[in-house]
Amino acid sequence: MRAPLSPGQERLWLLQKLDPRDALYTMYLVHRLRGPLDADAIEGAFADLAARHESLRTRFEEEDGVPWAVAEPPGAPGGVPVVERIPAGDEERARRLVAERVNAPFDLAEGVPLRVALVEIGPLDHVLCVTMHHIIGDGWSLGILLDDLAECYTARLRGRAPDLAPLPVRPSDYARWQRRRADRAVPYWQERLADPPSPDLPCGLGGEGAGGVRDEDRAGYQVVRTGREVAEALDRLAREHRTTLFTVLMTAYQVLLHRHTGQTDILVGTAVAGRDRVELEPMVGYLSQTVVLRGDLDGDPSFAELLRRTRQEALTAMSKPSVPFERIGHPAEALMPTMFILHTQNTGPTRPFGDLSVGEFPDDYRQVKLGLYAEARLEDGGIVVSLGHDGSSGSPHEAEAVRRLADRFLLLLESAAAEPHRRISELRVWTAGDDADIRSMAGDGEGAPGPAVPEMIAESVRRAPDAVAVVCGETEITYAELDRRAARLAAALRERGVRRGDVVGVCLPRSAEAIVALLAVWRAGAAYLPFEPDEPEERLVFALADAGATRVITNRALPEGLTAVDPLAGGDEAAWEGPAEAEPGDVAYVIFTSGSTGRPKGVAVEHGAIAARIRWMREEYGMTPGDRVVQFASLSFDTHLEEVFPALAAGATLVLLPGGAATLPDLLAAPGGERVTVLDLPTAYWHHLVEEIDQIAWPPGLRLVVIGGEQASGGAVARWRGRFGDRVRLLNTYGPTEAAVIATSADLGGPRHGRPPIGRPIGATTVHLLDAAGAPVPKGAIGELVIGGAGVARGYLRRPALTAAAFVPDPSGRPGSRRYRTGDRARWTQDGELEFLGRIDGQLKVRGFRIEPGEVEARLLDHPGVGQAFVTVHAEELVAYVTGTATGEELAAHLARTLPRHLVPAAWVVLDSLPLTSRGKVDRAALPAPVRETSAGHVPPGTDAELLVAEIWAELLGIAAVGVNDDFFTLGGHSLLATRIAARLRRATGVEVPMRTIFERRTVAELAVALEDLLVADLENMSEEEAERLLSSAGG
Amino acid sequence: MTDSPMLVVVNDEDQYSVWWSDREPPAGWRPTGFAGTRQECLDHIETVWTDMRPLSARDRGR
Repeated sequence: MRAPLSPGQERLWLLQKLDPRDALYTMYLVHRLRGPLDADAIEGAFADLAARHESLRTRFEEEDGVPWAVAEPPGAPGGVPVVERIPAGDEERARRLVAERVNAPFDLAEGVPLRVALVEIGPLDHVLCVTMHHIIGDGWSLGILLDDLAECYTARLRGRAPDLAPLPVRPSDYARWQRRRADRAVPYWQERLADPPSPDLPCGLGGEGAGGVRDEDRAGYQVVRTGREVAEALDRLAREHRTTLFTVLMTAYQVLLHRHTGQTDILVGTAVAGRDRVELEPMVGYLSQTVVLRGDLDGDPSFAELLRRTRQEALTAMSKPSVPFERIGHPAEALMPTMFILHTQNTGPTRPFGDLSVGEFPDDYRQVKLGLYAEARLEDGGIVVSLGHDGSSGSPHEAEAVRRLADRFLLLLESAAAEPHRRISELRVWTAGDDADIRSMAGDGEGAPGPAVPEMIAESVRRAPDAVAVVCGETEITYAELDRRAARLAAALRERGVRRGDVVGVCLPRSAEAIVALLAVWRAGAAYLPFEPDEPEERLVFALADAGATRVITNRALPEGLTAVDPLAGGDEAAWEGPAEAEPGDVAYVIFTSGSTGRPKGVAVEHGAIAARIRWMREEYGMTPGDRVVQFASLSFDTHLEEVFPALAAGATLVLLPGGAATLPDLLAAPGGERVTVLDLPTAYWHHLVEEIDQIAWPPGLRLVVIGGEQASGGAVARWRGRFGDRVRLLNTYGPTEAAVIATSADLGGPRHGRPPIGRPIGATTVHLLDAAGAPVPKGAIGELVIGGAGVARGYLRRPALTAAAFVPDPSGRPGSRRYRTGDRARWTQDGELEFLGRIDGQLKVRGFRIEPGEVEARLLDHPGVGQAFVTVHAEELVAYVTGTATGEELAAHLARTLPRHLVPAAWVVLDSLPLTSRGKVDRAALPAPVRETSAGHVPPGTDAELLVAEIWAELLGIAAVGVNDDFFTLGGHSLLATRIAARLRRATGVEVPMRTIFERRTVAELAVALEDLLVADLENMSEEEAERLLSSAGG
Repeated sequence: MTDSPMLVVVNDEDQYSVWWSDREPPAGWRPTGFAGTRQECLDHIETVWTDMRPLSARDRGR
């Protein structure tokens, strides 16, 4: 007889098929039977049992991908369970045999998924071990099985028929009925579980952590138990609220998750017996239902108030039949990242089992179904809670982390029992050990006092005036010359009225003049405000006005009201008293960052703050006069300070990239490049270099690479270490402009697991992770990263409210000190390192650039042809989705007038309307991916060189057919990809194509011609044989 | 930070910020007397914090 499966069975069948070796769905009944045992009677009793319960003789067949349940007739050969009798000899071995069985998977294609073993420890001492696949029985079924087995065995011994009432319903009838009910419940669940929140779990378990993959070796259970009084108080609380202990514990579990993740929308699954009709009660089968409860913890309610909410949710949700997650339209991990179950089944039979006494026996079950899984049971008046974890955090300390979590749950239960009217943010969760951890991980904000940056550089000048300070192309200038030129320009600034406390703009190309200009501004007692050489005029004017600056060191013509100072201008140095020492409280520089309301904001950083940073970097980066440090970052970003000043403060040589940052591979490959010792790169750029690691001319003396700006990829770090081992130190840094360049660092040396961390607070810096109520959280919990100590900026120029909101009182620092709220989410790992987890708000990072989409959106909405605008990131590019009549081309031109290049979207999608979720937010999943337009007149590549170039572009840009007239940048190419184009061309032809060429020869045809020219030039220096080989490879 | 009532606080450098009304401000900070929602406090600060230089920098004229 063949029957359809219930929806729940279908799901299990599918999951088992996806991973046949998975033992997650093995159910077991393990009991110790002491006394005289009749093994034949046991065997007979199982035959009786299988005849009675259809599930115990049901196997599963697949036909055209559809599973069917096939029940063997009672008594048929396949329908009588085989009882395996195993002499164990001792308890130790019995235990091992049981553990093997309960942790073994079932192949659903191989007959009835049921195994029975009778393990003999001694003549009067046996262990019964029944295992079956969940698809034929649930937890409730195990109780029935034991009861019915006891009766059948006793009846056999006594020579009578078992006293069991006939079963009114068969599992196959139930399956058909349940299919119809589930169909009707689909709309309810689709609506109730729409827009599931990000499935965060404590301690990096589940999807979000480093691993995200189940690891049986690290999986396990951690058990805690409450006292009797706590259990009684919680039970009383339940009754006062006309609910059950389950609801109270479920509420507490939601609070535990909330306090660890900050989420207020929390999904927790649970199991309900699904036996709400009398006729379903005596059946063996898979009837239990997995139901997801959606907790709403918004508004920091009291525990009692939250209990009322949970009660209401449980009453509604638990009365509905569950439906397979696949039909709700979201992956199971998103809908049910974790479960909580309160077990109430009895552990022993309710009927006599012959003359045997039935006891417990350790099962050593190791399977954990979810990242985190909580179950509770009552024992001796207390509540026993066990937390199962599946090894998915990737941390070798996972068991320890979950142990802490269990301890915290215990504390929380005690706190809720004692003070149910407290807000959930005020309930005790963190242990004394947690509080001690928070203090020791936070770091020390008090730095040792030391000289300001200009004094450190003056010391370098005094020590070795003839050492080379700056190299720019063919130009080299010594420390003495740098100092002399800075003094001259400073005098010129003084003559033009610059005074202490002023702000002076610097808008120059990458050049020695630019470095001189920064030093000259400081020497004149002012702060510098750096710009891109091609900064849009509107933004330049806005920023200068905002900073109250009127003078700019530049070669550009400036609008009226602004004074341009020639970078080569000289003043009479004798006419003023000379530089005064910079006070720690003087502003050193102002950097404008993207502002969410549409206006950029100027961050003012004082000399004391940047001096603390530069002193730490000089020391930590081990800078010496022998170092050659590449200046990669644009001066308009604060990363430039991390390159320029530790180098100059140590008397090292700064190597500029006059052709632009993207020409770094050219610089490394050119004469002199081999002498570079230190690189400081945006993480996104470094990722691209690592992709082509064998094509880059890494300098033999390279000893340190500092990366930062984005989440580093574990794969890239592994690849890097595979190539360089510990020879080149790799330092991952993190920090916002508001905390003076960087605030944390991690040495990515040594063996690592999972995603690279951002490390620990650096010198003179504190880091706390704060929850929504402003309280610090310990290891395993997520909070907002807040930075205190010497590097905290003065604030945002002329933005009192913004400054007061972001720079807040620091209770852990000196009296009156402030700390900066970054808006970044992070977590302390078990090792006390910080793991970066993205933004609290919508701020984006594109190739290392910090972007407030709100700023771009506000500018787009200024355009009369735009109705709605939404800006996001897709494939390392800024993408704008707009409605209205304007074209992408028009809008790009509109933005370019006011915004710097990195804020102008590279891809445009015009829609009739923005897709919205049922909660009214932009539905990111429904946004179409931007499509690249290739040029109108498509001419396929013809020559060998064109074919090669087109093929490489097509692969790196992800475009099917590239024509010879297509422009690299119009197709979505950017400087990071250009690095890889050059590397691929080199790999294919052996010819070094300068980065500059990729930028200048922007079409396939142009670049192909350039490539041919380079090949010819190379050929002239080659033997005939080498040339032949090369030409044939270029054609391939 | 939620909608709980907040205070405007100021430190010895005449720098402003906000703090919870039901918690003691950290050492070196004192309430100015203004209380309200977080947004009301920030709006108030926008009008009263006119010279954003720290007091010690103002004394030196920079």
